[in-house]
Amino acid sequence: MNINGNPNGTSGDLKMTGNGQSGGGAFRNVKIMGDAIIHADTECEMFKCLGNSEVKGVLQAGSVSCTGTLKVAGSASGGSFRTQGELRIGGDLSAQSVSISGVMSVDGRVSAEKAKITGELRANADCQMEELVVRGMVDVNGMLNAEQADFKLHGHSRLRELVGSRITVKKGSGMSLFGKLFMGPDGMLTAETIEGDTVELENTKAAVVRGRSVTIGAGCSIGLVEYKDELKQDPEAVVSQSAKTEW
Amino acid sequence: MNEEDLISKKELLELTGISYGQLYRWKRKNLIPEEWFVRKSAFTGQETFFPKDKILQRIERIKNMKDGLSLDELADVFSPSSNIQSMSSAQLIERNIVTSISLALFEEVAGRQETLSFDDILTVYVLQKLLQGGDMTRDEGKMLIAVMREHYGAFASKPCELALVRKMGVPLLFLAESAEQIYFDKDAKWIFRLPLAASIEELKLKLNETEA
Repeated sequence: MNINGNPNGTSGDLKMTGNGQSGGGAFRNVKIMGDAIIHADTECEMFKCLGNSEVKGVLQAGSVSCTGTLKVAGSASGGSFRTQGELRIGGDLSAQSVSISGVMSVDGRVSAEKAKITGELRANADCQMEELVVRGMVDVNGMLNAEQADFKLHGHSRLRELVGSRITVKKGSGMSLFGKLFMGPDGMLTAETIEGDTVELENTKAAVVRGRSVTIGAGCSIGLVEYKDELKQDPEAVVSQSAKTEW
Repeated sequence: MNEEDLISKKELLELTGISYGQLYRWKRKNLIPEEWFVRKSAFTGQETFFPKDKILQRIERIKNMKDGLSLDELADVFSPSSNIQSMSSAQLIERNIVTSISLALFEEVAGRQETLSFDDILTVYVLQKLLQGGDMTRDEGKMLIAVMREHYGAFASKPCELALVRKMGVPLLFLAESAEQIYFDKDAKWIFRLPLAASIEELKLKLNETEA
């Protein structure tokens, strides 16, 4: 089966069942059940996939939902991205909302208003969100900047910088499905720098933590804490050095 | 105007009284350009620094304006490109954005125009500012219009500055990405250097104000 979209002007639907290929283009709705390869840039209002699909170009869609695997070679942008399974993007991802159960890996930058990750988020450049909820692990090769970042850790998370207004990092409760899946004893997070207004941490290893109000909970090992208003420290936490500052 | 004059993030917060949350929110909204976050090694590892004059001025402006405008509107004010694409010459006069005198001079060079593009509005706005400030003669003003119309587009919204040099009464007007590292012989005299980014901000505020 081979269907091409209309590159400009009115656009129809693309429906593929079984194995299919398309030359890409502009569509209204794209529905894939089975395995599909789209060979060029694709633009559509709705992209729905049950199975495996690959877009060998840029994907621009009003909404994307995928149960299975979706690979985009270029950048992806759109209103909402919902994936159960795996989402791989070769370029940048920019979206209103992102909801992932499974794995999302982005080679470029991630920007979203809201993001909820149950599973894994991997990004090779900076990420920014207004609201971020993570149940699982992140691996960000850069700065993660979020107005509100809420982590429940499973597995080993790594970040260069974690910054924003309100940052909460807790260890995941052992009861969850993901806790069992990752097999690790407890989740943990390693970062160079964590900076925010209100920072609450557990199971975190960081060189520097700065904030107005800082809570260093159990399982933390921090090189330097600088705080403006208050510092609460769990007796089981290790803080090598702390200072109250003027800003 | 030494580009190397940097301020550390801690000093910046101490000096301006803003919080990390605000700083990073403004970064996300592109109110503070990414290039201004300069990472350097320090004893605690990597530290972030900023170009001191630029960041202090920008934060002051954000603090002054943030109550009246949303963050997205503010982002537009600081962006070198504009939402407002064009405006009719009648409206520009009526709304007091430019005077009829400077517009007349513009039309002398560019011909009569019903509507002006944002770049043209900027040209008239800068022209008027410099004429009123007494930095420039009318003939130099005509040179400015020609230079802006011919070459400003080439910068494609990148920051640039306009400068005027005179030697023995002969003016030389030019646009450059930066006039920082240009040296003339001693008879040449710098009359002004005008970074257009600041004028663009002023102009956008004026356009937004009168619209509301």
